[in-house]
Formats: sequence, structure tokens, C-alpha cells
Amino acid sequence: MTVPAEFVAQITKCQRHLHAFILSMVWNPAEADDVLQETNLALWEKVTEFDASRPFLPWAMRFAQFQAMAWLKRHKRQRLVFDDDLAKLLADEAAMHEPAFDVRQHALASCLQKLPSEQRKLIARRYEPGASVNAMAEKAKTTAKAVSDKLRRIRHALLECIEKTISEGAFA
Amino acid sequence: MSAIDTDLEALFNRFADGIASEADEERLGQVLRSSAEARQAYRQFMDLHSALHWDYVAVAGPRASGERRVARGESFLTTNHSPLVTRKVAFFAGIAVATVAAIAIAVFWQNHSPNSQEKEIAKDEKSDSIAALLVDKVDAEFGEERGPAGVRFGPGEYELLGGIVHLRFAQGADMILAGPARFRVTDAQNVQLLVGKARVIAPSTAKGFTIATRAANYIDLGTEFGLRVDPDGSSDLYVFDGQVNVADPRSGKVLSEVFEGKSSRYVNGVAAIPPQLQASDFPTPGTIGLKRWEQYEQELRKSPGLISFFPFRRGIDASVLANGIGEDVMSHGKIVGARWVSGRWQGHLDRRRIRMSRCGKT
Repeated sequence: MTVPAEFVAQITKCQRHLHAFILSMVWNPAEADDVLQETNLALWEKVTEFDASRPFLPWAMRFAQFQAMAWLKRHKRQRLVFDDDLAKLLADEAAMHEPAFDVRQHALASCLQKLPSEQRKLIARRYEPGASVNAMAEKAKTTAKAVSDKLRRIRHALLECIEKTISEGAFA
Repeated sequence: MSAIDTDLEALFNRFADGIASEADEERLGQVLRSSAEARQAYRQFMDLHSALHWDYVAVAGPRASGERRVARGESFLTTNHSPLVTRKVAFFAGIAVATVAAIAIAVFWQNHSPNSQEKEIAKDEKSDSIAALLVDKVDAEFGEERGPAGVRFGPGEYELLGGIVHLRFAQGADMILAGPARFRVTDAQNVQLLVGKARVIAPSTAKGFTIATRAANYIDLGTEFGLRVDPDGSSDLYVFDGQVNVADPRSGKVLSEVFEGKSSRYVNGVAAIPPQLQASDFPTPGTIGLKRWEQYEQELRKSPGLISFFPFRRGIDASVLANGIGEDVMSHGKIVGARWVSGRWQGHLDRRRIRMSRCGKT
């Protein structure tokens, strides 16, 4: 099988974007990793349909949409939130915002540097493999909600910092 | 942020942390269906959630045993395992990129000489543990067998032929490197820069992050500095913020302490007169963003349906916002009230009031 180098470049380039979209449907990062792998496999199996003249992300996003929905159905999850129409809408809108996604990812890198050490550590603990707010709460002898509220404040600060960075730097 | 936005953000946060209730699920479905603004906020929140997982887990996480299978190219295409088999070992977000690379490697291996197997094994050895993660890049090109495994940098030697890369090490240090450069990653706190230019931004968690060179070792004490290593091995340091200790590469003895705004030069462990260095001599994370924007601009300009393009660059007449593709279809803009300001990317406008006209209308 001849694999176009452009295909490999494109599928590698869009991994973060696909992961973010999948995560918006399955919520758990490790499970999003799994769905992303399945999406990569599905994309690879359709490599012969790859058309370098057309935008890659919308095409790949469609695979991610189907894989995420299949995963939700297999696990009988989140039937109250997503249906095919909403999943398609989210996928379409995510693909439309590819440039903004890249800019925001870039801004996040500098915003993370500005976080106080304690907040960085809390984020690191939250996102280490297998971590959960329940486990963190148990260890800290507090409630999951209290831990989640702390994380919410950090995420809020990061989101605000991203907006500020973009408005002051990239487009000021 | 308004009260409603704050409320929505709290809702999104409960999903991100796995503590959402059934009522939360019902509400999320409703708001996503009914509001484009809510969908945008949700997308941005989940983008952040994903990025934090991607950056922190991929760098900090232990290497799962099963991941070696993927890195070695024992991918779905070369075995009969279900993809679900691999989900048990998929702890890293970065594994996805590795999977892509692994599939590519597997296919390549099937179609090429057996000698290529040795090369892939060599590559796998380099990625045996993770010291740093590639978080951003532009125009990056690595030498053959001298590149990362997907986004992961394990101990080993790397050669950046061109472009700029942004690495984040496991203890938090960021290194932005401009090619051409050769460097050797030892672990999450130690790098040897053989040749090239790098900027290091190290938070307190990465205190002690060290870049070794032939001429001297540079020990970061929680700060930001630039380092240039010439092909003859001499190295130049410029400290943007904080303090860097320069140590003898053989004895480890501290030779000098360099503070904010100061520079130094070492040749074979001996101090020399430092050249004139400034912040712009070293790449920043913003350099990558700017270059990416410039590439995007080039692509955008090729669009056949484009009638106007405003790159917000100051011209001779500061009151004119120039249409970058000319005035054939749409005229230049008139700047009213706004002023040119300096930002990360120099010479842009604040966005208070910009008036543009078309076909004689304002």
C-alpha cells in the first residue's frame, strides 16, 4: 500500500483537534484517547479515499464524530446529551474553527507558565494517568466538589488568560 | 463573565471532572442545542480540558507496558488485535500521534528492505522513556533517525535541520529551539546542546534544569534565558529574567552567576568577552505562532474569492488600514479613533474603531 506522505502529515497535525472534539463528547480524557485511536484506525483504513486537494480536518472530524457516537452507544452513555444531529453540529463547528484552535493552544502554553506553582501542581495531579477528583478528594480529606471547584477556578483563570493573551498579543 | 456564563462554566467543569448528574446531562443537551454561544463556550472549555490532558499526561505519565507494542509498530494493521485491546494501555494522549507514526512505520516496514527494521528498532530505543513532549512546532524538519517518536522525546540525540520546535520537559521547563540545531536529551532536567539557539523558560518546579555544552554547563534557577552554541563549541548566554549559574563542564564548579539583562560567553570552560545579544536573538513560543500566522496569511491570500485582507500592518499613512490585496474590489480602511500599539507582534492596532468603506459607502 502506498501511503501519501501528505496523509501522514495531516493526520498527525490534527490529532489535538480531534482529541478535543472527541473529549467534548466522551468527557473522560483516557476514554477520548481510545476513541481517537479508533478514529485513526478508521481514517487509515480509508486512506485510499484521501484527497489532498480538500481540507483534511472536516473529513477527519466526520470519522471522529462517528467513532464517538459508536462509542457512546456501545457504552450506553450520555443518551441524554448527544444525538447524531448535535454530534454533527459540534463536529462541523469544531472543524470551522481550526485556526482559532491553533491560536488558543499557543496562548495556553504561555498562560500555563503564569500559573502559581500550587495551581500547576493541582492541575498536574488532576491530569496524571488514572487520576480522578474523587481520588484526589479522598487523599486530601475533602469532597470531590471542593476539588472540582478549585480546578474550575484554575480553568477559568486559564480561559481568561487565553482570551487576554490573544487580544493583547496576536490581534492587538 | 456574566452570571449565566459562570453557571455554564460550572456545568462544563462538572463534566470535565466526572461529577455531573443526570440533571446536568439533560441541561447540557438543552443548552448545546439551543445556543451557538454556549456551544462555543463548551468547545473552548473542552479544548482546554483536552490540552491539559495532552500536555500533562503525555509528559508526566508512566509508560504503560503495552504502549511499547504500539511504538514498535505492532499496530492494528500488523496484528489481528481489536482496537479495544489497546485501549487498556492508552494512558497518554500523545500515544495517538505515536500510533499514527507506528502505523506509518509498519506500512513502511512491510514495503521496504529488512535493513529498515534495525533503524526502527533504534528509533524505538530512543523513545523508551519520555523526557519531554513536543508541544508546538513550525516548519520543523528533523534529520533521519534524529527526530522524536511522534511528539515524544526520550533520551537520545536529535538533529533539527530547520524550523522551530517547542519542547516541554516533564518537570515543567520549556525549551524553544531554532534549527539548525543538534541536541542530546538526557532526562527531564538535563539537555546537552551541541549546536544551535535555544530559549529556556523554567518555572520553579524545574529549578536546576541544566543545559550542558562543550564550553560550560548552564544551570537554570527558575528563570528564562537564551543560549547559543556555535559549531566550534563556544556558547553565549543571555539571561532575560532571574539567574543562571555557569558551571565548569568537567568539575561542576560554578564559574559565574549571571543575572537578568546580563550575558556571558565561554570557550572551553574559559570566560570570554560576550557578544551583543538581545531578546530577539532567541525564539519564543510567540515566534512559532507568528510564523504559523504568516503561513496562514500566505494561504489566505491565495483564496480566489478574497476581496479584502487586512493584516493590520502600519503603513506610511498611519490613518489608513491597508487592504493587503489592493483596492480593486474593496478600498483600504480608514482608522478612526484607534491607535497603533505595540503587542507581542509589533505594530498592530488596538481594535476600538476601524471604519471601512465599500462602493462609496462607509
